[in-house]
Amino acid sequence: MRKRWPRNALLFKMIQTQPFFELSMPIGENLSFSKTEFPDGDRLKPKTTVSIVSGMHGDELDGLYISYLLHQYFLSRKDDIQKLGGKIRLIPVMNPAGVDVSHRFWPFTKIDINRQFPGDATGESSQRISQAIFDQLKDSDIVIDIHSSNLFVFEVPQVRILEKFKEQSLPLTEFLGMDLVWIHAAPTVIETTLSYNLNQRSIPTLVIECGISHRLTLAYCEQIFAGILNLLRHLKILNDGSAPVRKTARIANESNVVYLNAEHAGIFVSKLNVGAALKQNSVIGEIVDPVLGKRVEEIRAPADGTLFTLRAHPICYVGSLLGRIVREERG
Amino acid sequence: METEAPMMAQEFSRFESPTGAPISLSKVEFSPQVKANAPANLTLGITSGIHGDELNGTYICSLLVQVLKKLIDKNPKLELRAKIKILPAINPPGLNNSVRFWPFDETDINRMFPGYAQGETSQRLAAAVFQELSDVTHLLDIHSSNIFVREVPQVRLYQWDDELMRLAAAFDLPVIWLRESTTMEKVQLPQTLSENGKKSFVIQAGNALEIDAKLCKNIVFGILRWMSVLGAIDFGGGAGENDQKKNLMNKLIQETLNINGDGRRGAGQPILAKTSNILYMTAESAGIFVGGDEQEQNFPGKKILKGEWIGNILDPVTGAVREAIVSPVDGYLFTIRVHPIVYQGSLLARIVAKSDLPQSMIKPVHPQQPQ
Repeated sequence: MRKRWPRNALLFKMIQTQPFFELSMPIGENLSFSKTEFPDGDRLKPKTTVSIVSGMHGDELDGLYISYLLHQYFLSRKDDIQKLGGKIRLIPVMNPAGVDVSHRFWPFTKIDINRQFPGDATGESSQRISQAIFDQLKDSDIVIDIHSSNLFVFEVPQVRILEKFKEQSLPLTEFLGMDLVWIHAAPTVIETTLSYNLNQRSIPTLVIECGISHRLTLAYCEQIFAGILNLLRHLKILNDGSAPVRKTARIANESNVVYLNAEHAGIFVSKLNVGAALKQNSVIGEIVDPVLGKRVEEIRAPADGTLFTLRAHPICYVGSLLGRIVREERG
Repeated sequence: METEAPMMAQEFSRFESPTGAPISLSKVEFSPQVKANAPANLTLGITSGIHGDELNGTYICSLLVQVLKKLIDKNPKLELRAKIKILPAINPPGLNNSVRFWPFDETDINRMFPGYAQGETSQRLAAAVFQELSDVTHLLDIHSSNIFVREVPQVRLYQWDDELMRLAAAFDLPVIWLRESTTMEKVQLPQTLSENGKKSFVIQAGNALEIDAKLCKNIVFGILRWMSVLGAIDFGGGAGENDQKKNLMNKLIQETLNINGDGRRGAGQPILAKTSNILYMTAESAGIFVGGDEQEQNFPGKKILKGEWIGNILDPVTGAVREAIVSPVDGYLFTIRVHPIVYQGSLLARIVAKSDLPQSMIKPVHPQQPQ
């Protein structure tokens, strides 16, 4: 006989935010790493577990807000919580020390936590953190890892997938509602990231990139929030009466992504916004020399397409990334 | 007898800055005066300044330039038989701003090799350096310790065989570390040059953000000895290897460097550190690490006995001892933590144990091995 699962108030009480890992600090209280889990409404052992994680890099903040939106949504829908067809786990802040000082890495040693996976429980702080996170996520069926862009470029909401793991991940992207899905090959160092290590264990892990560091881009947060809900509906985890919408996103890969790099150093001034549709030869921006008071370079679109990455940081060196275009599909 | 201008200092690459002076990469080249008797294609590359907070290496390179110039000018019987390329300052903005990494985006140049000529300026810089070193047969890359630890001066080999170990011993530093590369380290300069058939050596010289002039002179002495063993320099005194020749070499170097003694930091026989005998001592508590005391200082090079007290981790507010650090083995302290703040897992010390460690005490190589 299937065990009767607690309903209503009891079920609600089971939704808890609690630490899954603590790190001693030299001074003061332990640093806590927390998660919130929304249990499967019907089963002790969830049919499907989706983990949504963010805040791995302390200067990437959109994921924190998206996690908040999701958390609020579930809490506000008491009836639907009982009908959750799977478990949802939120880990909004994987690097709280970094977030609190607005530093990308583990601040003390400046080591990138996202290059330490699968981690080591007896190692240095960043290795212990990565091991604890990995341990939490190992039982997931799907993981969504939300990143923002870095200090230098603005990105449209996109999913990034490695060619190697395309089969398991691509079908899920059709429900996320992102502007773009970028399939790319990986350099060696990527083998130590969270997403690589999860994907290696056949846990489809979708890396979402959007916006820019140190800022919330609210429109993108809303878009990603809506996309995640849509995916949860498709997976029959969220049963809130809305039907999931399927839409194949634009696919970007080596054959259709064009990089724009500066040929001069100076101040880059863009004339467009990220996401702009481009016609070949249209002006994207210029590089100026503030000392000599002259324009040194004009950047024009080399092809028709969409500007999915655009430099936001005005200072540029020779070779600095100014933008990326996904070329228009030829009919 | 062919001769070329023996010494040449020049810029080999430059990159625009947005508003300031261009970023200029310089080298000093010594060309062989005597082509006969030269080991085929022998070309030495000596590099430093990849990390802008590591200054001993840059001083060593500049001192080496001065010393080579004087040796060649003042000693007609001395023969330079190989090309020597010295690149003292690979990360000029890092050095000028006194920061470890590329200051603009805090990326590590020593994780970018072999570089990318169409990439960001930092990647282009790495590519230009890699290209400049493409004709070397032997690389010596000089670093210092980071801000967390003090170490004995040492040679690090990321690939090794009998020949490489024999050459590494010529520097006569206390330790030679046969060090397996982590995934992240495979894109460092020495490893990528090794991939391209070069023989690579790394020297860790002293501490970050300071210049230890005496140590640097000793290391220059060691570099000249290495060059002699390689056959790149013949100091005179006839053919073959003998004591008379060695004494002549030592005398010439002593005079030119204005140094007493033979500059040896090792005790003649370097200690071989490897995965099987390096004990990593790490903190189990967070707090402040206070090592040694007035009577008994810890210093890199200290002999350690099993059971010996190394230091305490204290609660910084109450002063209570959270953890006493005691060595579980007899050995040689080749790394000791100097940065007082520790977290769980922070490296406190590395000891080369007298004998190989049991499997349970051996630290496996991880994706990134912070110092």
